[in-house]
Amino acid sequence: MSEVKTTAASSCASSGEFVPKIVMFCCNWCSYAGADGAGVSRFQQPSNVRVVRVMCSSRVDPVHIYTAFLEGADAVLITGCHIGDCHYVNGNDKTLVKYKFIKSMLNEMGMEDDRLMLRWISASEGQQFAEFVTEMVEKVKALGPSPLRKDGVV
Amino acid sequence: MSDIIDPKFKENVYSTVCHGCGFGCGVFMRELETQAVETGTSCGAPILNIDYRKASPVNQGKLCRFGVNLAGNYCPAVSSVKGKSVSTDEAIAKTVDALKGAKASEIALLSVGGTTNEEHLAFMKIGEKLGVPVSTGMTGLFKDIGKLHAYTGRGTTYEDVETAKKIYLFVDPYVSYPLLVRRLVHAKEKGAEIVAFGLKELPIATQNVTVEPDTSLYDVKEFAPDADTVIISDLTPYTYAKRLAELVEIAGGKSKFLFMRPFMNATGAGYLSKHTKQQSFDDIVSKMESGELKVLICLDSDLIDICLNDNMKETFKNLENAIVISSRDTTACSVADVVIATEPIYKKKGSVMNAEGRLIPITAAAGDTPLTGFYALSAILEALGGSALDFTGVHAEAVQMLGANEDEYKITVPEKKPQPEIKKISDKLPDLKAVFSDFAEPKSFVSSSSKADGESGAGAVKHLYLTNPFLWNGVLDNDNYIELSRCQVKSSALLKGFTADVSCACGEITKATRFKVSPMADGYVLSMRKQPFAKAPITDVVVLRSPTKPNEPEIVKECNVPQ
Amino acid sequence: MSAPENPAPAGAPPAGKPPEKKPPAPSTVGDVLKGSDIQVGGKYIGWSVRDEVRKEGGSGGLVTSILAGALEKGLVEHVVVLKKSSQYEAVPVLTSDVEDVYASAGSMHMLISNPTKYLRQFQNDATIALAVKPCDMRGIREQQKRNMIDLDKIFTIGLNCGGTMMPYKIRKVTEEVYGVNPDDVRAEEIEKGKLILETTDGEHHAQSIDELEEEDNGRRENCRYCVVKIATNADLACGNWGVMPDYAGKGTFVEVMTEKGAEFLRNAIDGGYAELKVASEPAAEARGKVNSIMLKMSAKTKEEVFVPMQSQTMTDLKKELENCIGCGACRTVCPPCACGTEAKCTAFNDPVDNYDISLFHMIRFLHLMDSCVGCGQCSDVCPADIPLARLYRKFANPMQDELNYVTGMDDRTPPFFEIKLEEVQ
Repeated sequence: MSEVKTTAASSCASSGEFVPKIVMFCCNWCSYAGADGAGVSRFQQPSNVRVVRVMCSSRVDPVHIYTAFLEGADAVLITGCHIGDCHYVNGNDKTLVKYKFIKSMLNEMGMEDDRLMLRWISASEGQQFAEFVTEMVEKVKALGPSPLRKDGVV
Repeated sequence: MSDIIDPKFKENVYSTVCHGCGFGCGVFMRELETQAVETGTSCGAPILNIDYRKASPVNQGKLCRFGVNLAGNYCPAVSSVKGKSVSTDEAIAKTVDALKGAKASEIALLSVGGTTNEEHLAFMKIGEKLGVPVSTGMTGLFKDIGKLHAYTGRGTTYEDVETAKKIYLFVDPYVSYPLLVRRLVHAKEKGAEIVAFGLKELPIATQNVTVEPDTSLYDVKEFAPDADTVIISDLTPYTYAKRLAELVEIAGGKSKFLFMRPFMNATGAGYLSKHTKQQSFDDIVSKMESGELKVLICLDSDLIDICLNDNMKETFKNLENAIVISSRDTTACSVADVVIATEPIYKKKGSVMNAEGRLIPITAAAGDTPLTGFYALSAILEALGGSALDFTGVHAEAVQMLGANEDEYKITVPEKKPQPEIKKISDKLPDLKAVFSDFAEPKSFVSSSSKADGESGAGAVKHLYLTNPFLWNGVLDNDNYIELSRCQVKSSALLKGFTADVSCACGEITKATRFKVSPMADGYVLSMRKQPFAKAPITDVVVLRSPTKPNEPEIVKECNVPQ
Repeated sequence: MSAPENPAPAGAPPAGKPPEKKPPAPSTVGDVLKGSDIQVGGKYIGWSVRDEVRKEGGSGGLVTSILAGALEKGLVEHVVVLKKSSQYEAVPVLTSDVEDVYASAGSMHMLISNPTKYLRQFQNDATIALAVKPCDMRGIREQQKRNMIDLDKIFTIGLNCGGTMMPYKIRKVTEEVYGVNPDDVRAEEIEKGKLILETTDGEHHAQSIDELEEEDNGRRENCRYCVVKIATNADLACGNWGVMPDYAGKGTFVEVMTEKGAEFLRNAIDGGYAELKVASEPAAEARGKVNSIMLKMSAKTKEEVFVPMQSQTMTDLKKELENCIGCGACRTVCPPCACGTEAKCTAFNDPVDNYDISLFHMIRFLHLMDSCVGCGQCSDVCPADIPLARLYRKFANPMQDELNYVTGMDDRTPPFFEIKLEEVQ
């Protein structure tokens, strides 16, 4: 089972200021440990990301990604082990195939390119993890709310 | 499924009309005639599949959710007396005995238009013999609607809707008559202005006007019909007479009307029974409750499914003889004293008239099938002392009475008779509160189950049904939820992922029902499925959050869903 | 046999129009063939030996005679025929009666059957022969890739298809454009880019298909940009493109695509159902030429339809889908959809969610990116008239182009099921 963990208290924006909501899927064996590492090492990173731990990045089904967007996520990030390091031989290869399709589809729908990202982050790359999150939050802030976000969803 | 392929198997294809509503959608029904027929489905229906009839002038092969799953809707009825299955002849004999043993005032005949014009006419002939008119349930509910008949009839076709400049909608086409949607889409593409009057905002509409059920149309300034306007409303057993009268008074003689009907042949049945003195739906029910009525014969009309009141099953027991002539195994079959089973609708021959007034011939594409339904009626008539009926003769008579031609591609507009002067009758009709006074409770009541924030009136709303083919036919769909506005959700303190408890003053509570946030008027809750708390078209209820998180949502298993 | 056979495409020169001045080349070379002469990859011209089949069936009735031969000689247990109830209506019906096969002879451009989903209900329990349009066969092959239809149990005769028309539209056009009573139409044919209707009084009424299409009354939209016109994915690819004037209306061009196709053709010859001759070089060339003209026209329509769609925003997409009533008919008829009743697109789609685009559509868009065959069945049955085929193709076109994947033409694994990206590309 996947475990939902919020990196910080998700405070509701009281002012009109746009606070991006980002859903991040982390592979149990690499990126989740990377996220842990980022926390332990106290790297500064924004608190807009909700992390969902999955056993392998290939577990992330298109349904998960679409549901996240339809429920109001402004961006979805997928992270997994580097190619060749998969705990399950070739899981992340399959992730790549799926990612290619989903990316193409979202592009055709008129969704901005940066709203869905795939990044390989290993267990030791806490720094990279924090940087990736910071970078994505900045990008999404610039983009504004997702076009799939329903009016009235906070 | 390995026994499907029997070397001697035969596949029959029938060109028929969907019985979901009065829209008149053409559909092909395939029936695989094999040795495996008995094992086709659990209910004993043969293996059925639909095919799309793309040359149909009504729907061009398109079907709604009900139509797509139509094949699962033909669980055959079994002839029975007091629950014991008997031969059809025995059931007929029992029916005749029951009729002979009752006075005319103790008998009621009901046919809302669930079957062909020919069967309806044969049923009327039985009525004539007995001196009892056949009730269609539609014109009879509010007696004065009959006076408006000249305006509720034929003349406006779906094609007219497509070319209309202004369309006033008093129905929710998405739920009630889904095949209307494409006609409206085409009209909108051609620049039509579509105004939806009602509680829910419709995406198809260019303008949405909130009109509460008891609002007088005289007070709605947006309602300004002219000669270019097509007004689409519907005529169901629960149509609010006052609203209907106002519609006709304001727009009659100026605008075009299209009245949708909830039953397959409701228009045809209505026309055939036009000049008879019918009993109203309410009359029948109250006579049943008082025990005045001894014998009720329903011809392909399931009073229990049609009636929004769930107590109907109990009321049925007041009858000495509840007789059901049915092609399908519906709820009424389970409580009826006598069931006369007839052939399924797709095997029937004859004609059906849809809401436009289009006479659609239905014929078996392959071979002749015995018309058990028609000849059962003929046998009853014969036993009562009448002469046996001849199908061809009755068919010709029905066509002549309807004043239509038998070409489904052409609609005969009846001769223009001088239109009767419109008399203002709406102010004489009872208002909504009075009509449903038995059920409606003052808005301030607080349900005993609710421990609502101490504040009285929290979550108090009016419940309304969104009528749809599933509701009328007693078929369950995945529509087990209620609809509320966003504000109402907040006032009822509902949360995403949680469910709601709905209760009414009568004590019935629906626990843990799911809810949907819809763009609609505050103060109302809508549902598509029969709810135990709602005994009338409009009921005051209280919606509050269920105390705990729900279990898994109910999954509906349908009878025979085609792949 | 009953299915579209489009002798000459709209606006294209007539099939096999000979170079000017020179006399037309003969369609065939050599004598009537023996069964053993038939080879995979061979191109022949054939006709039925029965007079009445030649008369009733389009182009010599070869397809009808192959099917009849296969049924009578026991190569298959059943044949799927289209049973006509009027000139505008027919339903596919499974039969083991050879008379039904003969009765179904004749061409029909206005009947859009969906044999793929029809075949599925028989669960590979019987051997079945049928004639298919290229898109039907593409659907069957996609089902086979998903283990739902066993190709060993099915014998298919592919028919050239330049496009099909919506029955109700043609009925309307017959009345309004041709000025003919629709019930009087006895037969129809497409020739030299014109749709010709023959009435019971023997008169011929013709209208240019190009002109009809300007009013959106001609072929269905998806047919106008379809990329497979010759069913080379079936066991036999038949049609009358490439038939020279000497055999016009009397012979059918057939290309043998598989060993099974050769076997059925040999059976038809040896059983005394059909006669075949080897197709001449110019005949084969003429066939290729018609095909390439048709494809060029498709490519042009494709640009007209899809280039403007590239700039479409999310708002436009939401607008297109806002009238969806959730009937699920698009999925029910979809030929490559293999999931059955319990599927991802329905199981996770909850009517309670009021998303702007339902999860059902989102998942269907994705699933069809690699498997959409462009048959247009979804648009045909949509009760809200959502241009679904166009939307599915909008997502599928870039992906299928990039991966160089033509769905349903061969045994290639659907790219979404591949394990490595390199194999996908």
